[in-house]
Amino acid sequence: MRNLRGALFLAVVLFMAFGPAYQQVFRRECRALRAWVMFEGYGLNIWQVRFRIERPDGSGEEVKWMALLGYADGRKAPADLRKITQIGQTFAIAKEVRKRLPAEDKLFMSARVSGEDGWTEIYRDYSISADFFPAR
Amino acid sequence: MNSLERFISWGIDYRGSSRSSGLIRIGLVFLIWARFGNAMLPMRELETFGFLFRIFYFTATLAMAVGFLSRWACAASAWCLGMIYFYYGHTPHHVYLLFIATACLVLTPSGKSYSVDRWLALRRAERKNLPPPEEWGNLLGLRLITCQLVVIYFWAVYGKMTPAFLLGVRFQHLLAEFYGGLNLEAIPGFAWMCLIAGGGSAILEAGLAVGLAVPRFHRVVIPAGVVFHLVIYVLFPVHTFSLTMILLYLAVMPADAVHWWIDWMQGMRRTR
Repeated sequence: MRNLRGALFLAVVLFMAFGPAYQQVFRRECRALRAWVMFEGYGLNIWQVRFRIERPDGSGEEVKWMALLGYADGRKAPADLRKITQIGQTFAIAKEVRKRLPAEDKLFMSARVSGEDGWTEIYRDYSISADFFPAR
Repeated sequence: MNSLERFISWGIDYRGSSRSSGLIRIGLVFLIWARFGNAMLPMRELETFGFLFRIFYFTATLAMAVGFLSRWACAASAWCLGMIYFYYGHTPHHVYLLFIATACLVLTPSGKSYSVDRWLALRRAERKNLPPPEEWGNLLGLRLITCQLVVIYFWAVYGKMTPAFLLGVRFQHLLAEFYGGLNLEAIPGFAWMCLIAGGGSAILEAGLAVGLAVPRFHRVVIPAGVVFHLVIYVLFPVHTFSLTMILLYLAVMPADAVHWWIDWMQGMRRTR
């Protein structure tokens, strides 16, 4: 009886200890062999966007785009501005920023997206000219 | 006795106070109800099987909470959680942790403390003019919970062994997801703080994986783990995971020391 208890105990511990390897090492799916990856799937595909302007006189600066759009306090911005999850949103923001700047100012957008391996830069100083978004 | 035999003996020959397991039993039920109380209301599924399953779930977990036929109640509750995880497909790790912890409780004498079972046993003993039954038994289930905690930390660290996590970039992602709008990046040293948080959490979890397995480190790692999980619980939506981990630390502490401490808190023992 004691041997049986010992064998069962050992079997359960081995299952607990090595079960996660099935998913975490061998990258296979199985509900019974639980992986213990914390925050898996969180914080992925989140976009961050920055804007920079260059004026005709050569001066330039970073654009505080949330303030420019009327949200000096970013906490009060709508959810889709606080958390950007699609590339289309970055251009929607760029469009609004462009509208609020003088046409002669050059606007450049940089955008990066989060992934398992870190940030991936998608645009660096991408030029958003005054006629980038055609008027309808 | 070789080390394997010592390990098995550590697991199956552990006998002591049932108070820790009694407290875990009660705490687990409240966490289970906090997580599934609303979703498992019978009105949520009126089809026969689902409706009866929900009635059974509440019956089993209520019996587990009050400690009536405790082992059976824990087994029935574990079955319900297994159904929720495997059949209904609620597969986040906090659900699995509730399931496995409840299943492990079946292998403890959790009903011998803080329970209706205890109350009935005391009444029986009084009627027969016997001394009160001891709050004592084999605590194999607590050993399994300890092993599960060590395993969780080990594999959590393994999962963090990526440059993105260790350098704090994944932590930046989490902040971007949950705290976007605060413009945290404008804070001087933000990247360094994320690096410390990302790398530090991996180091702390590695320390917990080792420290929980070595009793002499408990005084350091258990308070550190409690603070760590409370911070995560407050910062991020981890549901019941953090609180369950904290509750399960009771399984790691020596059961007789917990028993002694409760006596001491109630003024039943005077000196250390």
